[in-house]
Amino acid sequence: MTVRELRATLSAHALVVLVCVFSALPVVWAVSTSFKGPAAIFAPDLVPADPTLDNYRATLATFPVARLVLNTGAVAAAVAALQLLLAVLAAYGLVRFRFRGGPVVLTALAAAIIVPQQCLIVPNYLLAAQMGWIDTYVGLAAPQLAGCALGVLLLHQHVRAFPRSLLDAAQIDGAGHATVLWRIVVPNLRPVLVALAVLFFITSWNEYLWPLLVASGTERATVQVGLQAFQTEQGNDWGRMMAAAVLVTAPVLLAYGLAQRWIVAAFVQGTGR
Amino acid sequence: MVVVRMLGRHGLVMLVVVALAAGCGAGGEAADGGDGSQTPGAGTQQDAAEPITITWESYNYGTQGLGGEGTQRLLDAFAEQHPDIRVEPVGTPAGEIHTSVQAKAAAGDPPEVAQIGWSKFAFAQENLPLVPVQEIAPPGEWEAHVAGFSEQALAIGEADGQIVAMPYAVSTPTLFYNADLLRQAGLDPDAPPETWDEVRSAALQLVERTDAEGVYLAAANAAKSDFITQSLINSNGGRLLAEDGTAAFDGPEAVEALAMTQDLTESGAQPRIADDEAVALFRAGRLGMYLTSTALLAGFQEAATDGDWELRTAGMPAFGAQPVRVTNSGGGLFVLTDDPEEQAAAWEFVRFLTSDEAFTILATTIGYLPLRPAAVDDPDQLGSYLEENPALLPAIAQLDELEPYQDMPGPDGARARELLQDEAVAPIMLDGADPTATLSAVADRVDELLAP
Repeated sequence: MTVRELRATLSAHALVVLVCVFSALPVVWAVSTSFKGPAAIFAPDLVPADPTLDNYRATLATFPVARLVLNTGAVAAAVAALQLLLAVLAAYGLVRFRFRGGPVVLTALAAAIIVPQQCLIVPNYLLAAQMGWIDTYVGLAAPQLAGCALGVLLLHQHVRAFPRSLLDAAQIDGAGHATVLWRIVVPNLRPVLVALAVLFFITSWNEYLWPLLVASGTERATVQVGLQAFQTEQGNDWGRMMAAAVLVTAPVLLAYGLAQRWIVAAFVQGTGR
Repeated sequence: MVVVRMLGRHGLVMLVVVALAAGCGAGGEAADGGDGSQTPGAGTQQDAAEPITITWESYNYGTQGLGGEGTQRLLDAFAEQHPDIRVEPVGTPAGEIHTSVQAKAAAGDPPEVAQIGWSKFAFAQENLPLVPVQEIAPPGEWEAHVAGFSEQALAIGEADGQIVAMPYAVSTPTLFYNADLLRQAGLDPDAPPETWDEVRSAALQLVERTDAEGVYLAAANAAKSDFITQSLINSNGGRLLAEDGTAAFDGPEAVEALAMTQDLTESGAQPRIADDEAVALFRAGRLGMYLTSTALLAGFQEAATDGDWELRTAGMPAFGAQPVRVTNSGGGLFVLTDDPEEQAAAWEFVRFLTSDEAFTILATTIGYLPLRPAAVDDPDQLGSYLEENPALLPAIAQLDELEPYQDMPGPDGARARELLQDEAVAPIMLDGADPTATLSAVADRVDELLAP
């Protein structure tokens, strides 16, 4: 390795390390704050001078951690799975079937991405109320499915880039569209599908406004709505809020840690093909 | 058609969809019975005497801490006294509750009773299907109920000559102070500062002679509430809005009032920090004086007991010899049902929440003001409590001079208020912005936003 190459490698690594530190700092600070007493909450110490477990004790005594994590996890998993399914079907259909209005559909999907969610709150709520979905898990999840437009557009590009001759050859051999889609296209799109699944899951997990409206303060409340309970008219309890944030994030991090091998493998698989 | 045929052939895909959808449904059932808990009274709905159910959307309900605990106590007490009425509480943060109620009203299912902040009073009147609370009371009951109410407090909920919303969770600015720190600084805690000049010199003495900070005014705060801003401007003879609804906070009195907050910071009497940090400092016993809402009283009492320091309160300081004209923060109870039976139940609930008993619970658990003077004097209600815990007395005394909160009307009212707080009050108080020029520029922009 020449000096120039070494310098380039070191610079690249330094940049990556810097980005990692920058990304991790808020999380580390949240964990640190969760171990601080009320008097030290705003102290600029990354390592608490006088660490305490009081925030965790008080939070576990009154805050329904398990319920919120289960609610949010179930909804986010269902939303991610269904969005992925819809996106795959839509992208394949838009590429493989020529029909009048196809470009219009694509344009409409692109437009759907830029419409702010707040504009859709009232019509979505009206629809959910008419369907009897208020304060139900279906009500929490269903409107979020419309957020798969980004997935459709991304997958549309990938399906379009798929060698057409390969798909035609499969069909000449007697494979129907379903076989082509599920046996040939989907396995080869695994890296992008995994990336999309993670993106959909995180987006749904972080959803705040819709769950607040459709299932606030009830048995079906989600993590983001639950954390809001520490911001009150009587002041914000940052210590307990950070303890709660750590507690609700831990299971997801743990799940990711356990599944990391498969997720990375899925990313890597196919990239060489 | 092709897609349908595809799905038909591939039952597995359908199975996944159905299983996920069923998972949602199954989750719902598990949530109802999974932990064995039920909504209070849910099991008795089908019983012989079927209670009427009303929904109450509240920004205190369900919150972690004293606000949530106090509200639950109110609900428990009401449930015990009124088995014929079942109240289903819904907790929504103060900043979102008006939007939430609006969406539900548009869907034809608003909560029967909602607790909405006074800063959304104009919004509520313009956008929600309100039924004035005065109209739902049976003949004779209204007069009997409001007979014990503070007149100034009742006026907060008035619009077009009648009481539209019942004043409920109300607080005023109060000067909290750490008596131990004042003693350490050589100040007399029995004679707290009564004017802003006295506050300034006491704060500087605190900074000089102790390790603590001097004073902090919660005028610039994360909640973007402007009730302290208004209280300061009113007390210096100014107004937030003129009679014609245009911005008046660029007048000389308002400029002088906000210049005072800047002078506190520039002189070192007030630390250059955010309001949340000031709360933490005061709770930790490292801030001498703190002007904020009485809603923080119970939390401060808890911190003072834990930290072994003495908490005391005083009324909001005056500008020289001028009278103190505080305004209120907090929220009122709004009724949103046309159904006579639900209105009757809503009235019973509202009447309870604004009774001597409820104000006693609100005052002792949270720090909201008892709006019925009778409860203050009655030894069975707040009388004996206040004798031992006089911290609320200065704020109660201020009720006699209460100026109703001025909300910014119209669809952009909330934006206008945020503009005032974010681009005038905070920069003037903490960042040294020129008070005259800043307030004048922001007033022009607020006028544009409020123009009909």
